[in-house]
Amino acid sequence: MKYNRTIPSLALAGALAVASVGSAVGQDDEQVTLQYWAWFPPLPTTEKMIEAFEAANPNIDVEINVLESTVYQDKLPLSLAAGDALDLVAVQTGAMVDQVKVDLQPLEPLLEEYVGADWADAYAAKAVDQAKQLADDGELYILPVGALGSVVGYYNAEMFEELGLEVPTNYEEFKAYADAVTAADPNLFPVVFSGENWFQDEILLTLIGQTSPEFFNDIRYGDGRWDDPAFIEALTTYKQMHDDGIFSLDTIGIDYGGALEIFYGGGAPILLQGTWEAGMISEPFRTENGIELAEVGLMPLPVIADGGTPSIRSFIEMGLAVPANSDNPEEAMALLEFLVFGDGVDVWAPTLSFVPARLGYELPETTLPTEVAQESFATLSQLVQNPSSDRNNVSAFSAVVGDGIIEALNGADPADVAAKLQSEWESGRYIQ
Amino acid sequence: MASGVVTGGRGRIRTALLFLLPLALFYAVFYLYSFIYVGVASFLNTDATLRNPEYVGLDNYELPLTHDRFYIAMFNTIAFALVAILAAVTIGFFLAVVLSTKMRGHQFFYAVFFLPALMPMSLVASVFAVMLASRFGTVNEILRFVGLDEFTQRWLGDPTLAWISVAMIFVYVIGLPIMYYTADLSTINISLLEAAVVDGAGPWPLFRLILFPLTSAARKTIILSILLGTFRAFEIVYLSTGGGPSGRTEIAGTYLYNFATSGVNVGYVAAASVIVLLIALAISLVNLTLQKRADARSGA
Repeated sequence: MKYNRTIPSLALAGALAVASVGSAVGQDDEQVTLQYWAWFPPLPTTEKMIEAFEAANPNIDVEINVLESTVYQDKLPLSLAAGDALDLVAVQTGAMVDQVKVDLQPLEPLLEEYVGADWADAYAAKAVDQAKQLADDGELYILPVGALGSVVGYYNAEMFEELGLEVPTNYEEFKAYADAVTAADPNLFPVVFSGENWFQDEILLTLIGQTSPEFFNDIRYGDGRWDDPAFIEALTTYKQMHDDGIFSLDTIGIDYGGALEIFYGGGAPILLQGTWEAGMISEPFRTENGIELAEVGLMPLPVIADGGTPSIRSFIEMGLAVPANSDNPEEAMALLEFLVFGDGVDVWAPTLSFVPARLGYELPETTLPTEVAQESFATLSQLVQNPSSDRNNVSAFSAVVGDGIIEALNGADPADVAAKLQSEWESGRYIQ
Repeated sequence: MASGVVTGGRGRIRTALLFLLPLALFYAVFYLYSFIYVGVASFLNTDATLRNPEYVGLDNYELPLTHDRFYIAMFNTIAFALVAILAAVTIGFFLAVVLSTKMRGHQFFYAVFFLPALMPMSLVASVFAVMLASRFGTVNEILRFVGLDEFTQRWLGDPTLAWISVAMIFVYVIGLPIMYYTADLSTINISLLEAAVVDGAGPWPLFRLILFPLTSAARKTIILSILLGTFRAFEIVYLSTGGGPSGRTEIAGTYLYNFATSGVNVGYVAAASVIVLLIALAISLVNLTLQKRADARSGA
């Protein structure tokens, strides 16, 4: 019987063809695992972001490492220096950029290659400028997801209605407001905030920015001085606000969490905090996080001096970067694109921790269902996008300034405090 | 035989070294390496990774030595220690003697006084911070409740009161000195006391002339352990006042921690750490020298 070789040959060729196609699919769909490090948003929100990314990119797994902020400041530089193969990391804006840039890849080439040459058309130019200025070589190493700032006021709208209060806009109204609250219930704080030293610094710099908007930028980038009359005047007024009962010296002993607890528990109609807590103006956020307040609005700090304008300091935050050691730059950039330009923004933006740097972004409609919430978000966006100065803190020195403020509140002369701060600023102890 | 003794001795030494090896390795990694790291970093301008360091000689040592807050921290460390020692050698001694008389309920009181020493210091400090809060703190709320509103204070917000409050936390953990004294008192020959009583000695002469001198061994231990322990009493200050207000209650540990975790030049913090270590060593040496002289004078 003649053996026909055609069919087996064809079958073999077909099998080979199928196998080669199969292996090509296998290579394209090769499972990649990314190492993603960040300190913010909190783990539950970060997990949601990553789950959404993994659902859209089934061939990419992401291992998350979210650490507390001060721990992260130590851990990330050490891990990068040790050569750990991280793929996408969040970098804190400030001194950390210069500290770790040697371990990062310049981002512009990666953005052009993987996101597109026109990536900057969809991104806030100011954020790019601020990110570049953080590196002493002017390169772009981080792409911030957005911006935040401080200090703003959050008010308990229900308490305001019950007590017949109006949102104060200047010093006189602020004092009248505080008197009304104290008269209604002496146990209430008219205004509660964390009395920790770094936050005292945030409040005072916000007040200074109302009349001397360039004060902090001059200090940070120029030859501005802490013993400037603007600082002394603001510190004197800040002390007066305590003497007038607007603020209470009892806040000195209250920490960050304690202030939030007091506000959430109805112990104060107004809370002062950064815009990173703005999630509380959103009803879905409050429900999800167990904040039992009916309605929370956002307000700028009342203007405390004639001729001032409401303002805050703001700056970019959470800059995403691709370490030089990453074995998966393409996938890392896919994650970066998702978080900064893509659907990932829909996951973290409703927390309102940052105002997105992505141009033209609009929040989902369900985030801000009430008029108060919508007006508050408009105020928030306006304040963050039009800051008086950059909130580009020298962390260690913020604490020193705060300690000086507390000394003034406890009776020290503001001029002496200012002189001491200037001397300390010039001491060489702080990386500026 | 001599060679057998030598072999046995070598073998014992080898065995001893083998048992010591794990601890030696642990010490080498976590202590020796740390000392070397801190020592080297103290001469550099650098960050925690020690990359791109800049040698600056003794400049980093000048920074804490010209910082008034550093001196406040060192003063507070020693001052809090002295307060704790004073409480230990007076109140602690008195309580130990009273409890050693096996009075009714002495076991209950042992537990009451010793419990704080068993609790984590972080818990003690945190609870004190909550109790001493100006608004809604337990102490002020009790005062308000009984109509003593005028006695409410900013216990942790006023610099002087905050200092006293922190000192009180150091005194609160008096259980360990009581335990040391109790152990020492248990070794005293009771016949000495009986003879003194027979000779007409009252309570005060018994305390001053018999019990106090005979418990000098415990006292030495207490003084040295409290003195050096205050250098490590980080949680007590950090979790009650954080070193505030305005650094008024800062001790060496919180000073170093606050600067180490806030982005300053690591070399500066390392230099400050070396200075603190040298001061602690000096205090130990002085204390041991004085104790030796006291022992020599008393013929111990």
